[in-house]
Amino acid sequence: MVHPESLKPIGQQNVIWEIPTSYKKGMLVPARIYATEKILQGMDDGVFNQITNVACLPGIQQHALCMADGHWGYGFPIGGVAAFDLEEGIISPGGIGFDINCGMRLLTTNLSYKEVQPKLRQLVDHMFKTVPAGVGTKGFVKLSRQQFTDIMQEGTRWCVKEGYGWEDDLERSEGQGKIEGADPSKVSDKAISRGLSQLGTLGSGNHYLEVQVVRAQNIFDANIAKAFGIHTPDQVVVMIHCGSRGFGHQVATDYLRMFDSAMKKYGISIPDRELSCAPFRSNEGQDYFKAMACAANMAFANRQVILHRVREGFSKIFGRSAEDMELNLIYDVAHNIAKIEEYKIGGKNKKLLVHRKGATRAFGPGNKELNPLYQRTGQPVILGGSMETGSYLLTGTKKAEEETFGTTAHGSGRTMSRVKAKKSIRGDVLQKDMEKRGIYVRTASMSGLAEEAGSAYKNINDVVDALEKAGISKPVVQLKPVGNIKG
Amino acid sequence: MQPYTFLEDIAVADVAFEAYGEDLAELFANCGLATTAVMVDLKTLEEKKKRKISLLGDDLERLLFDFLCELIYLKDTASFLSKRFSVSLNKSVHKYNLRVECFGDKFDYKKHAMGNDVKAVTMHLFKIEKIKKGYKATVILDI
Repeated sequence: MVHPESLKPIGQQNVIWEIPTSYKKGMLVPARIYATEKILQGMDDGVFNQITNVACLPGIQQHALCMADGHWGYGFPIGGVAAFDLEEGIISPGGIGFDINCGMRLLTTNLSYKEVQPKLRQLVDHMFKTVPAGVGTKGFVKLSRQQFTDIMQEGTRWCVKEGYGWEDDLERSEGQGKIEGADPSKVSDKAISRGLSQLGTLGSGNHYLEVQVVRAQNIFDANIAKAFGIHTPDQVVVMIHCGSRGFGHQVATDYLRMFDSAMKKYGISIPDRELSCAPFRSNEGQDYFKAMACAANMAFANRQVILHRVREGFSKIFGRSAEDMELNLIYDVAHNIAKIEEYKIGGKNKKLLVHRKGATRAFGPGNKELNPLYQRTGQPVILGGSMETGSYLLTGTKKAEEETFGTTAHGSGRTMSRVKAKKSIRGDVLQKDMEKRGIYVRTASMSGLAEEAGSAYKNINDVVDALEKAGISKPVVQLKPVGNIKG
Repeated sequence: MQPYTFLEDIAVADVAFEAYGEDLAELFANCGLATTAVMVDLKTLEEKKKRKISLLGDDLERLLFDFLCELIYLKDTASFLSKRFSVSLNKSVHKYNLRVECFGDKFDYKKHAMGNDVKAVTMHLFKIEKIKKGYKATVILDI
């Protein structure tokens, strides 16, 4: 890979790399990449080009950041983080992604692997039916347009009111499963038509529902793990990864088109059309923020309805109530979103619009946004890895709040393109091979399964290593997959 | 001329393709085929139903972008995917008039080998170019 010659390490750990503003004409701030040397060597050129493009956007503050799992995206790289001044700055759909509020959810059980293993196939087969995955699938909740409008405004709260969740689930979600400022009048009919039947569906690509095990040797901080509800040897947990489905994708498409035209009006010139943006305070910018909030709330609700189906599935297969099996949410966290948050800039507190595209909020202990349960530990951070190698649960830190706008990575990050993976790996062979290794997979698409092979991803341990050394997250446990439903 | 080719080395988490056409109508049809081929194995799909798409536009690239967005819309709202496109593209003084007949079927997991859901068409590197033997389009789909 051709890396910028001007790439300089910051600090002693060699995990923060800065590209100065002299690298590219128009850069307003330096770009910083959080990565070990090993990860940096493997990063594609797209990352350097795209993160330095982000550094050119009006109103950007401090640094354009890319996390350790960063890779070539469109507009922003995946793993991209940027904060903008509310008055001078912009908002960009390309800085959030088409899958608005794509995110992760992790829940505990009090079951050990030994208890789950005899019924694992039955459990996965059952949930494969009740949580639809794949191209254009429909969910079990039949919604009127009015109900869908309520979901846009209320997010997870709507689900709890309708019986698809517990009151506690709200406390254990980023922003209580809702982002403020949603205005359904800013959303097109097309977007509603695409999303109306999709509540409770996983989608495809890298989305999944996974049954995982916490092995004793994979617990790095037993005290925090316990505070998060992980306390039994070989305890089983469940992870959900999905977003706002066709609804969010259409909201992003609608505004990308609009911004493409609006930029001329505001005299903004950008290096890549996909970075199209509008001033945050403009009508277009405000409308997008309100529509994005609607999509974000639908995504929170989508993951909540899936959680409900998981609770139902466990109850049916194990013949006990979800409460009895302690199917408690640890946390729900967004990794494709823009939010208004307050940070210290030049010694003064300032409200900023933080874009996270394939990056996770990582607030440290004592942050007032966190519920009392996590005041001591810091916010749970869920890093979704590949279906073969596993995922991590970490916590946010004060240092992340000081250095990266309270942000960390979101997964392991791809290294091999989908097209290449599909050519070199066969889905049915992979499925059988994984089963031999104790991972039972059901998929809506064999070719899609091949694209998600572990070898298409970076080593997640290296990503976690970079985050830990940089001090922006602390590992709590590693989670190993035993059952997976892939879209 | 091959109708389209998927690119291996760009946009790792998404799918990039180049499509070709001797004229613009063929180019649009081949972009439609490439987009659908991401979602379903075209060999398993039959021509059982027909859908029409009509679009007006003054910018050719924008028109192609909108056409592919319409295919994604039909996928989510009508569960419809096409395996053949009959494209008519005319230019009046200022506007292009695009009319497409899409031949395909409602997708069914029991019958069709499904691929990946296309979430959206991106504008990243999106372009139509004049080449020696007609036209080439570069498109990145969000997966």
